[in-house]
Amino acid sequence: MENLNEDDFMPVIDKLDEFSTSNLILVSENARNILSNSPMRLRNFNLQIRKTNFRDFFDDQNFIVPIKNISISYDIAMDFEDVVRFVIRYQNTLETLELNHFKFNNFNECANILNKLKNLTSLKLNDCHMGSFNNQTLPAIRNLKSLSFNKCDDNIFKIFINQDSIEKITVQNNDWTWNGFPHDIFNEICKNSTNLSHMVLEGAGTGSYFDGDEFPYKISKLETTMITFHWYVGIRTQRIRFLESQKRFLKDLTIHELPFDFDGGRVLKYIIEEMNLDNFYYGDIPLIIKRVKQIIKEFTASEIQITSAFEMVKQFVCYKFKLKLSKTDIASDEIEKIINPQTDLFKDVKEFEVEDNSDCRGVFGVFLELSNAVMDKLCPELIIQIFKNTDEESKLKLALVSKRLFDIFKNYIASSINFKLMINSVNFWKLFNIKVFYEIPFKNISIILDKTIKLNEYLKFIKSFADSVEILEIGFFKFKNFLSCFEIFNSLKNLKSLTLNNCQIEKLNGEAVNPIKALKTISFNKCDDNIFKIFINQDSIEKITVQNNDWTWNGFPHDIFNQICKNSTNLSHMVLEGAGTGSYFDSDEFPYKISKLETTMITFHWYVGIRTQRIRFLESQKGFLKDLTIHELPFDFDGGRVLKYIIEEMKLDKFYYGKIPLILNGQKQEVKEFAASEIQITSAIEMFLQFPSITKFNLNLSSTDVASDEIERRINPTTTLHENIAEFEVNDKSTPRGTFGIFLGLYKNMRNVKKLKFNTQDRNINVILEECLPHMTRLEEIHLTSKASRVMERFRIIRQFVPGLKIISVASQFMEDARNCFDENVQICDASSP
Amino acid sequence: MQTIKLQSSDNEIFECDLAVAKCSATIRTMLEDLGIDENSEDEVVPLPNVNSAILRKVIQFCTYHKDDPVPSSTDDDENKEKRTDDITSWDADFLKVDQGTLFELILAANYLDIRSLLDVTCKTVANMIKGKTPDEIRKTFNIKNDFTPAEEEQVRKENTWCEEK
Repeated sequence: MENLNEDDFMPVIDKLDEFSTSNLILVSENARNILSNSPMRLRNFNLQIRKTNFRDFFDDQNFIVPIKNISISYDIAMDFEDVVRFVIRYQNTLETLELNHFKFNNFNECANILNKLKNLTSLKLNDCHMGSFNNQTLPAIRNLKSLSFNKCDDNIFKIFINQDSIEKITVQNNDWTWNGFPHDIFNEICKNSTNLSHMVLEGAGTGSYFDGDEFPYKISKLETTMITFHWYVGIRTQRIRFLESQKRFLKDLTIHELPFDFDGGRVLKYIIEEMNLDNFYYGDIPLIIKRVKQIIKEFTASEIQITSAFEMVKQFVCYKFKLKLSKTDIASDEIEKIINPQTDLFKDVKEFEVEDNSDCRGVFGVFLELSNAVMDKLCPELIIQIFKNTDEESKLKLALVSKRLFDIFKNYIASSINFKLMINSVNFWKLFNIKVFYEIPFKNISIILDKTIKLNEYLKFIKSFADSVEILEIGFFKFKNFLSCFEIFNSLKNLKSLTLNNCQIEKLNGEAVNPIKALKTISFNKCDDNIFKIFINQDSIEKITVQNNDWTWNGFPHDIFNQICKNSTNLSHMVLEGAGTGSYFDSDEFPYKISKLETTMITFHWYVGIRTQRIRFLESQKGFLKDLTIHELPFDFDGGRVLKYIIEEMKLDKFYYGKIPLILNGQKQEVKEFAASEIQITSAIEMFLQFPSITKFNLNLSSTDVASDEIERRINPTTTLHENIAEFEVNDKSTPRGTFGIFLGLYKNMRNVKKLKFNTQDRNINVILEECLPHMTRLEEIHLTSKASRVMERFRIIRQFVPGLKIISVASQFMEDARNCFDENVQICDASSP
Repeated sequence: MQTIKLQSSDNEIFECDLAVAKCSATIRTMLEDLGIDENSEDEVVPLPNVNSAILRKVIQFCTYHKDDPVPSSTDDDENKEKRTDDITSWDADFLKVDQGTLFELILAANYLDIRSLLDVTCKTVANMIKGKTPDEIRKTFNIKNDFTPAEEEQVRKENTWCEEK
């Protein structure tokens, strides 16, 4: 170590604390020399003396470093006289001295140390005391500029009363008691220090000083924890006498705490507006720099600084506010008085954080109004954006959170027909009882009745929205007679759309609801005949819907339905949903003309039979119907003829099979794929005839009883109809009837198919494959879910007849067999995987 | 890579990829209106409604999503309840922020007209609302129940309904 040069040694020293450095220079002559030869290092070096190293320093006569800064922590184990001698050893060089824990018995003991330090510029006294005071004071230390007291007793203060050269004075005091330090003596020191310009009051215990009457000095710079005395719980008018006394003189102020109590805001306002400060800091946050107010990125205040916090956001643009709650007892009523009024003071505060340390006292809720700012920053349009992302129930609940949200919701509802108020027995009474709810102009209501609530109550509820409701859906309403439903239907003047699900009227004597002028759409789902009857006079209806999944002939009353349609002179759009509506097309009369039809079926399906379909409906609408959607291809052996009629005779603008557009703008489309069942086989053949562009076909076999002879007659003749089919799939669910083999003739006609999927468990699969594969000469990919036995024979057939096979999918248990059977270049897949 | 300088409300300057900045319809319009093009190297686009912390997040979002296809929209879509279970894991992580920042991002997305950011932030708030009673919503967002005592009585009944569920 002693051979290290300065460049190598200093990085080591720089990592040490001052006490360790002090000890190092004691043992290392090299370190001592480096220090002595560097004025800069010497100026910054503070020799730390404690009981553990004092004796070594004191006894080392070779220690002749011209030390400028010493900090001594006195201990009773140290000989006081030697300590005095040690300090005096540096009387010509010492500039700053820190005395810690000195208990002087009398003035002389203190004076012996300090009197001879002619170059002392800074003196810090920490935890120093003097046993007795005999009115003696230290003569002025000529160069003393900075004097600091930390937890010193009054006598220590007193002996410095005549230091007229002091420029900066510091008091540290964390003691919350009134007499944490002697204000009057402190004032006297300040008063006599004619050069005093800078004061530092550190610690909460210094706050009481500002409650004084006199401040007999003028300073230009103040750093202080508090700027007023904090009465803690009380509500009082803060004294700002100190500030008044320094007005025009004080130019540079730093406070570590915002003014406390309910008058804190006024104090802060006074500082900002009256003091004419050049610079003003709140802790590290610059509030005013060179007389210019700054933008505050973030500030913190506690519950007892709430008025100051308000003043902060009033005076400055503040982006973030952190409220720190402690266990302090606060006057919550008074706080609420301050914070509750609606204000836009916090409009710039983009981020709000509450750190709640109030524990058992729990004052978090007291500040509720403040927190509103976060959600309230969003304009109604943005709240509505959030509404739109929630389900209907959440929207209702959000509306009931606050008045503002309620009003936004109300306006949203007023302009939104899409919000559906869904009423059921679970929520009915609660909503029924909320009076504010009736202020909302609900336009779209759905009510499902059950036996726990009387029909009349529901009707009353609906009547409350009679003026606003435009869309109404009711379910399971069982009216006793016309009288019980008359009032409600006749009161809904703005009703545009009515849906009736499972509704009934027990007794009817030919009455009907008066025309509801606005009614454009009506929908019946499993309603009885009487419900149909009462709407017989609605001449404004444009769209009528019947839902019926019941396969019986009388799933809905065709004659009454026809009467409604006949009387609806504006009717243009009909929707017949569900297989049970198919029987309607077997009627004789269709006394109306519509332009648009969406229907599950387009003919009545006799199920097993072979008959000539009645196309009287189509004939009745020919020239009028322009837009047709069917969810099922026409059934039975005459289905193909019906489909041909639709495509070639009806002159439709639009024709959809489910979602597949077959005709658009009157033009046949390039259909790529479709699916059909065994009882739609003639429709499927017609599809191939009409749309040669089809390349993919799915045949879905069900367990329906089919006339197999007739099917075979249709499909067996060799045809080029399927030449474009590259992908063919059979989904066989015909067990136990087992119709898979009946369609062999069709399979054989799929000559150009490249990808074949047989999802079947038919036990004759090997025979079928042996029969059809020789015809499929371009096959590359086979998918077989079959778990039938004789798998090796099956694979042999495939290998024999499909030389170009690239991919084969098989049931998982046959994977290994497949690997053993096929060449390596054939990809083997698990058919159960998607 | 062409870059552009964006200035936040607290005067911080962000240099970012032009393509990223153009995720904002507002910035696109401003560039046109101010006549700023790819060659205007020293021009700064002021964004007085977005502070630096939020602008940093917005740029982070747009940088990640800059190559995403522009979502299509129709009026019908606007009026229907939207799915909120389709937030990607990256977006979900990105939005693990305090409420102040989340709401600030909504405001910024609205001001800067960045639809994807507005959608995902609104969805995130919606998810915080879903399944909660009015009282739980109040607690979540620190919203005061300011209904009058009479109204409050009704609302309390409504809360009972919510709890019954």
